[in-house]
Amino acid sequence: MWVGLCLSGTEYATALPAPARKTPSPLNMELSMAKTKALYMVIDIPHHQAVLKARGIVLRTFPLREIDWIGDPIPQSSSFHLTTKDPMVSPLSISPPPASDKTVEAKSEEDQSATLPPPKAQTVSDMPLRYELVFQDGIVVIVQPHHLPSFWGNAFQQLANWTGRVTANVSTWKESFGQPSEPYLVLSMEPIDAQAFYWAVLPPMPWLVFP
Amino acid sequence: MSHPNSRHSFFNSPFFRAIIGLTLVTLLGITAASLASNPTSHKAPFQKNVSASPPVKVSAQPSLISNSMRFLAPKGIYVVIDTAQNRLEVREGEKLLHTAVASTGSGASLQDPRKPNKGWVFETPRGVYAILSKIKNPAWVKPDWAFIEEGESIPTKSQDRIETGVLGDYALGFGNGYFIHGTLYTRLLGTNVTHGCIRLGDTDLEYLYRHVPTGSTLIIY
Repeated sequence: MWVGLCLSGTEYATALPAPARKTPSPLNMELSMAKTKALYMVIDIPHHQAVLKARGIVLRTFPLREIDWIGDPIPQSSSFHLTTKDPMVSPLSISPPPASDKTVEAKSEEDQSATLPPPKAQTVSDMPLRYELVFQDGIVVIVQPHHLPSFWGNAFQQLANWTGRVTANVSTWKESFGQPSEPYLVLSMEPIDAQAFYWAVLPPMPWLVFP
Repeated sequence: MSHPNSRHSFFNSPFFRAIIGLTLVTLLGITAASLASNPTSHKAPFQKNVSASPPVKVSAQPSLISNSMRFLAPKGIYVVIDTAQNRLEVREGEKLLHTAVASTGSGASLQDPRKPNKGWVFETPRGVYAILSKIKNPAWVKPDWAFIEEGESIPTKSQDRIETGVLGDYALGFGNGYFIHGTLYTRLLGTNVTHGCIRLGDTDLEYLYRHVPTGSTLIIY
């Protein structure tokens, strides 16, 4: 027993420490994104905000009313690349008006457009309120409105939110059968912010999530 | 057959006490050796076996990275355009120098009737760009979509594409045929109506032309 204890003690005392795993710090990860010409999104979970940035400059901040994980949350700061935006209701595709409508647009020194109807365009208010953002690196982000002003609109959204959560929960059950499943990050925002957020994120935008 | 008190007598024996004493001395020795080899560690020595993941090494000091981030930020005057709210800002560092109402891309799409697989989406490109050129009294070289949209035939001569007086007094180019320019349709400023270019009112356009040098950073989001 004494010999055994001594041997195990010697083994422990002389064991080399495990090699340090070099994981980039959150700031380092952001630095690598800020070096590019791309816009990037920082999801700052401790501060309940999503921040759109470029070159390290804050362009717009989206307050997050609620943050929730379905499945195992990511353990440490990670970067992701957006692949698709999957809205519940896609914004309508807009086509320019037919040529016959445009003949009125006589070009002169004066503003001749005063009598014309406003041209068709996609605006932020046309963007969906509830949607999924799919990333190539194994995470799905669900964006949903926190509440809507109208009763029926709110009821419908709550139902949609509940359905989305059930679907996400079912998909994370795969893990119980030994299959890898991606975690779902649910972000609840004010309706106007949810629409602006949809406008702001474009594939293949890089994201940085600080858990 | 053993006596019922034989076990009790073994634990009270001097031999057993000696073993316990030596064990404690060995454990104390191991602890001392471990702390001596890694004086900053606050972990208990046997925690090594509990925690499977190796220690995480932070690869740079936050202050250094913050300074690097500052280094990456645009130098001098730069322009920021919000396509959602159709607003333009001229900034220098943290200071806001000028704001303006703009018009950006409509997001509309147009199909080329000659080629079914070809079309255009009239969106303002987003990302980090630079002001590449500054032009006074610009003329518009109309691309194919402008003729298709107006139901006209596409001219064969390049001079038939040139139209003057529609882009305002100045234009600032940022690549791929995209410009910040003026407009005849000032009523539509603040809305998403353009074919991808950025329109400004005359006063704001002149400010930009006079104060934003070529090479300045342009961020569109």
